[in-house]
Amino acid sequence: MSRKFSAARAVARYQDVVGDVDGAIVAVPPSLHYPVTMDLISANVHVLCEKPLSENGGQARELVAKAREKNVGLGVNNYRRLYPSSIRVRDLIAGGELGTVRHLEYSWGERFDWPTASGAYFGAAAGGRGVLADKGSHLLDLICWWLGGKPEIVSYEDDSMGGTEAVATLQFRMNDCEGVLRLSWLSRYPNSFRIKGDRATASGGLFDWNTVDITPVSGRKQTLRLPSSAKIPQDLGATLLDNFLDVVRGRAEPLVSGSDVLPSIELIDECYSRRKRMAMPWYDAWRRVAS
Amino acid sequence: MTRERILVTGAGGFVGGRIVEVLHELNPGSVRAGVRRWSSAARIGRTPVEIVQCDVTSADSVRAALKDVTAVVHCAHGDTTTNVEGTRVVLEEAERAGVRRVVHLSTVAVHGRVEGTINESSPFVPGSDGYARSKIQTEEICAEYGRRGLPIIVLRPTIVYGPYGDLWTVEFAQRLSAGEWFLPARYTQGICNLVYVDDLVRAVILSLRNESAIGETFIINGGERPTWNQYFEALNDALGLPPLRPASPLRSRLKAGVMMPVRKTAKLILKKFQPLVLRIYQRSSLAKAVMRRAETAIRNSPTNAEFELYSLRISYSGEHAREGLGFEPLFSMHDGIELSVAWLRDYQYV
Repeated sequence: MSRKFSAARAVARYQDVVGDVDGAIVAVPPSLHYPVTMDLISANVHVLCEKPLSENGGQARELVAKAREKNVGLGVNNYRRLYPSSIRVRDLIAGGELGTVRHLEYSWGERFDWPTASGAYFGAAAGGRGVLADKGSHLLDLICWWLGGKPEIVSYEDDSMGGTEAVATLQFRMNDCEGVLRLSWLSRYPNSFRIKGDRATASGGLFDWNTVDITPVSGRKQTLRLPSSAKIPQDLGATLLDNFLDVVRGRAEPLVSGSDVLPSIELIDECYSRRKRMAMPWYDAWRRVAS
Repeated sequence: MTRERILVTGAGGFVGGRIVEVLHELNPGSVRAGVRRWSSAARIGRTPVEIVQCDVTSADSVRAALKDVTAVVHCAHGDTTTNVEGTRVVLEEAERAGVRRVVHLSTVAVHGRVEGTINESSPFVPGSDGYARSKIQTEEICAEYGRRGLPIIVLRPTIVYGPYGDLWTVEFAQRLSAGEWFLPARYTQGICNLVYVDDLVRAVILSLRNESAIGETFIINGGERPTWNQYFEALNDALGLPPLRPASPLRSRLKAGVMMPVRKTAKLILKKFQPLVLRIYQRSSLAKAVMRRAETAIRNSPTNAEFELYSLRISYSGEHAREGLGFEPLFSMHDGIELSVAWLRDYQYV
């Protein structure tokens, strides 16, 4: 590892570097984000944590409070907030250019193909938290950020049968806006968002990081091309890392902080606490096989 | 009494995944799901089954997966090495572990493309299909271990369709939904030996239970013998699409001929330059549009091999499975298509 990444030192236990490092990137499985991050910030180490920051709102609030107490930076890799398209959508909503927002839909579905080296994503090892905690932690963070707070859950259904859900649908409401989020690890969805307001509709693809389509109520669709120093979306990862270095040096605040992601962490936790199994007649056909 | 524990290899796949689900529902805690890559575990991870990494070409990997296992359902398949050497490894280790049963999933493709009625004693016909040739070799290995006393049952399913089935379910539903049908009825009058995936799972369960079937081989087919055209029409109807328009035989043949080099080139480019292709796709909206069009065009055009397959009049007999295994298909084509379409819609394939 040390040779492969030109690192000065490689250790098997993170505890071994506490006291020697000023900053740490936490990229362990999600169920370990909270204990590892807590240990590090308690030892005055600045942390950039993979998403989701923690498994529930209580843990996230503890981390945020501890980081404040220790005066260290706590950033989270919800890098989709850095997309020029995400920023523009937030500005369009906040600036009232869409009018009163009535409807928001977002979908992200594709076959799981992350080359994970362990089974930590699935089943009991993942604490029964699947696609909602994985893809949902990106999209719900954007939805909460865009709408300016945590929406209320109308219904939440997924396909967990005691393990990690691979398909999930959340219906939500916030003020005058009703919305739906669809997620899947098993098939490809349209992978796009659509936000309908009284004055205009904003829409775009999940990976359209530097364009947004705007369709006024009485007018033609217009594609906004947004300037960015990044050539491809992955370049924004470097922006986040540069920011983290500045956080460690005391020159900046995290671009996406622990307190920024609190609403989405709480929302995900609430979804899990009231999960209902979705209708799956093709699955339940096993009863016929058993006859 | 030893607690039943069944290892399913290839559990990340279409058939293996469904076997895991049903075995888990019938007897929670009895299944160990073996996957080659962790990334294929998303479907079976929805249940609390035990999932292990199991590379069938590695004796160490298989030995670890077989710890405390009482029976094996061997679904893993792939290239010739996976099929042939992988099966040898699985059987060798299963024999060493002293399991009470191995159910091996083969295919009717071992009988080649010979028209007429085919049953289990019909000869192997290697033909030019590399997959079929490797499955013949695999069955020979099964026979060898069977003679040595390994309690093995071989199942030869026909065309397996149903939820999570890419080839005969997703692909056709998408082709039909594209609205440009290209398979002329003249070329699709062959027999479509369809078996719904849950019927195949039922045959696996019967094989795990039935002592008297040890050492036997069974063809597992559905209860009906529609033509391919009837299958396409029934699927089209269930999808709520307008009736299929007749396709011109000449145009379809031409399309197959023209698209053949395109298909081959696209496959080669993707294989060799996938990261580069992905970067271009992300950077340019024009490139994105061109690639999407190419993907759709390839999907919505036939291959010459398809014309041959859909014309063949082969009927695979289910008689031996009925008598020797007590297997009767439970799902009519109508039922199977209905469940498949409910799934296709829910998963937004159509």
